[in-house]
Amino acid sequence: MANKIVIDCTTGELKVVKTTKAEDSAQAALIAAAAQADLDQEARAISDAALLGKLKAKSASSADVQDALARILGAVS
Amino acid sequence: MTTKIVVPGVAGIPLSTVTTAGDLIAGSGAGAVTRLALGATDGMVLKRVSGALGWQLSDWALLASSIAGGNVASFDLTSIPATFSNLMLISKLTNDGAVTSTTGFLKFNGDGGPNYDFQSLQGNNVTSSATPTSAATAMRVSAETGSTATAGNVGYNVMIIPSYADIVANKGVLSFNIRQGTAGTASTYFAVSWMGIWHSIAAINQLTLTPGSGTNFVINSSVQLYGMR
Repeated sequence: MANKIVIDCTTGELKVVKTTKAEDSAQAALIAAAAQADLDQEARAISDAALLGKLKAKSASSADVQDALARILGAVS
Repeated sequence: MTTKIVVPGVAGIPLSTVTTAGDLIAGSGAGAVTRLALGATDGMVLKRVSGALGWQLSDWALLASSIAGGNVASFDLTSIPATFSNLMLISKLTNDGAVTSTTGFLKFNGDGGPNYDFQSLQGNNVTSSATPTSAATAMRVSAETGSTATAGNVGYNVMIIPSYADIVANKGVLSFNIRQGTAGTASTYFAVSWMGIWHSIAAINQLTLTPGSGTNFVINSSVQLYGMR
């Protein structure tokens, strides 16, 4: 759990409260989904085979990117 | 010795007209007065309201302002009054993720469903690009620096949300960001504009900002929300 700032915009009251487990989980999921969306977007933008090596070096340990890479290689070969 | 001015035939205003600190005495008609209580919240100004004298938030009102005194997981702006026409959110953000910079997240009314579409138009180094995103579970129309950015570099964002209290149309955001990750490294320079659409006709009463990397916004990150009548 972490602190979060909550401001009531009607009264102006500001409180610092703890996040809930559900909020922490939702935020982690949001970051993971955004990272995947960015990788997908990056993969779609690559149309030059020379750039594929750069992507491979950047993300050799990522199964998702390896999968994206395989799809791109299939598309350009 | 006390001197009193007495005007024959003219009654004084009874002290009992005022009852509370901040009360004013206002004319209510010919030869008549009434009590006008102090406005209910800070930032109200005395003005003509519906043909009478009254207190009302100014046409440009600060609804929320916060500067993080330490790490915070989010800025949650709640109970936004529906009494304005438009909103403006200005933020200065840095997160604790191991990145030079990244986009952040914005949700309306706590909605975490796949109801957000957005489109960026970005200038980065010497390259311009445009990126659409559909059916996301949060809007990414702002950006912040991360822990590996040059010290003191932050992400500056200005968002305008027109007709936020409308209950007929889906909501839109116009947003602008500037940020520099690493001084002297042009590949980390960004100037970005976005459009964002929230597929809901509900009046916006809550804005929640969370970081795009790491778990917190760091100290001195800040937000200000303004209502524009």
